[in-house]
Amino acid sequence: METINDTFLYVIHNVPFILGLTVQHLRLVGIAVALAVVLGVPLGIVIVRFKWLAGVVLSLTTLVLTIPAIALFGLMIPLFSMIGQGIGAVPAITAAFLYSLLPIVRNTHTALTQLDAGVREAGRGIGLTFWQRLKWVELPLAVPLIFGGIRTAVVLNIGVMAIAAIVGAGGLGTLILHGISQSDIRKLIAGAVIVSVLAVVMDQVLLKLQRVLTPKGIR
Amino acid sequence: MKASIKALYRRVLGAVLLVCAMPVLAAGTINLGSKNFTEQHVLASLTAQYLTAKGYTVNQTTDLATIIQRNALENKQLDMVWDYTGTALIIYNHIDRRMSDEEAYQTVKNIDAKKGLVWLDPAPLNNTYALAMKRSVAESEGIKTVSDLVAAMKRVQDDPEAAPWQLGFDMEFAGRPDGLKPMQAMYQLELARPQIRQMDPGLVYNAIRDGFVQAGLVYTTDGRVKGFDLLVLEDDLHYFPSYAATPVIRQEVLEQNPGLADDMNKLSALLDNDTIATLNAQVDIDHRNVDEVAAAFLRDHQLIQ
Repeated sequence: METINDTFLYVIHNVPFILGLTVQHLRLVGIAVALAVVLGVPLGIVIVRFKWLAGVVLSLTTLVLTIPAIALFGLMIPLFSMIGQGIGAVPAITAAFLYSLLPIVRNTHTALTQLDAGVREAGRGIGLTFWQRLKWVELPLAVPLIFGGIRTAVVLNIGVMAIAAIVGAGGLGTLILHGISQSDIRKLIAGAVIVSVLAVVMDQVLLKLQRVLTPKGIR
Repeated sequence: MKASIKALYRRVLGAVLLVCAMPVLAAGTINLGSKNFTEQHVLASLTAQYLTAKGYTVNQTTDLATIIQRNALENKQLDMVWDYTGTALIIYNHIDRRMSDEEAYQTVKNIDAKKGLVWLDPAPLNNTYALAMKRSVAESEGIKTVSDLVAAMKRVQDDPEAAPWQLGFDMEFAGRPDGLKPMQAMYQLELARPQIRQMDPGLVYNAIRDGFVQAGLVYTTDGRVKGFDLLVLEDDLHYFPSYAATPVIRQEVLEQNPGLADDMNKLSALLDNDTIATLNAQVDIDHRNVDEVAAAFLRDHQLIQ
């Protein structure tokens, strides 16, 4: 009980510092997932059009997700050292970006392949091309599932990003690392709890956004 | 729908540009790195606040593993770090010959000079490794040196009733070719696999205090040695080299900032074992904020206002 009290006091007394770390954390995750959306959604569409690619792309993105986070961050260092960016935001964002690809690509692919065949037929029936159907019919219908993928990626990476502190990217992992290295349980608890709360809150925020973006007809 | 996708893409494009905007190196800007333990946080904070007061702009990157930090320095992502002579000798240059403190310093200074890295004056502090145990346990078992510990562990091992003692090491030391293995060889310390507990360096102190391990590897200047009432065992066979903390700066940065070497040497001269151990303890035992501890020290010595 005393520990919880101390932790609470620690947080209260260090609001600007912790807020700074939280913003840094969210920015890293935000940029990584945004990049993954830019690449992942088109990639998901392309592998619907070119079916032979689907197996390769989905296996590769799955493979990336099986690499333990701490190893992936470690692997980024020698890679980016070659362009003088071995520590800091670049390796952290890249690692989180790679982790984000699977949920986004797979959900986009699943959403588009599992659409009601009748819907697709109807589109074809009124003479729409593949791209026209995609734009006017299929993508709008796929919004909830694609957004589900984005939400998974965000929640996943809020946790993963806690490891980014070891490559000098900062974020809430800093608090957790300091908690361990300085035998300071308050920082450890504060870091872990804030990361969890952040994941839940962001999931809800994105859920709201998803409701707004979903076409009225399928809401 | 269309508008929102456009807006989303615009936002994403903004984010991409943000990443691409590389940090521009201004004159008087120093990228300072620090490793992942308290003393390094303290040294970095001292340096950052001291140099900021002198008019430099300091960017700190903390919590880097030793090798990550060294790579970043060699790749010019960092300009200055606090490093230790023993670390440079053994880890970066794979020299395991025993040498005097002065010889060790000169050796790493000369090697790094060829890489454009300058070792300034070392601080009079030797943060070497040591094995430590709870004072109460050590006293009741009559253990004062590492050899005593080895003998005590053998006694326990021969006793079928007693559980074998366990030792705690940080993962870096346990895995390094110049770490645990040669130490075991020198002290003829036999350890079965379950007797070696690997963990974060900061956890070893808690593990000893809480009795999860009977002895463990500590840093001699760590505040928790005193704070947790641990006994540092004498390294009677002289296995551990000296680790003098020294600011290491890239030659280019030193040339751009002519006063920097003198400024840093003035700070280093103040930091001896007792001083740094006290500062470390204020962070690890009293749980004071690193920046506050560093600021108080700098104010006491009139290095900042």
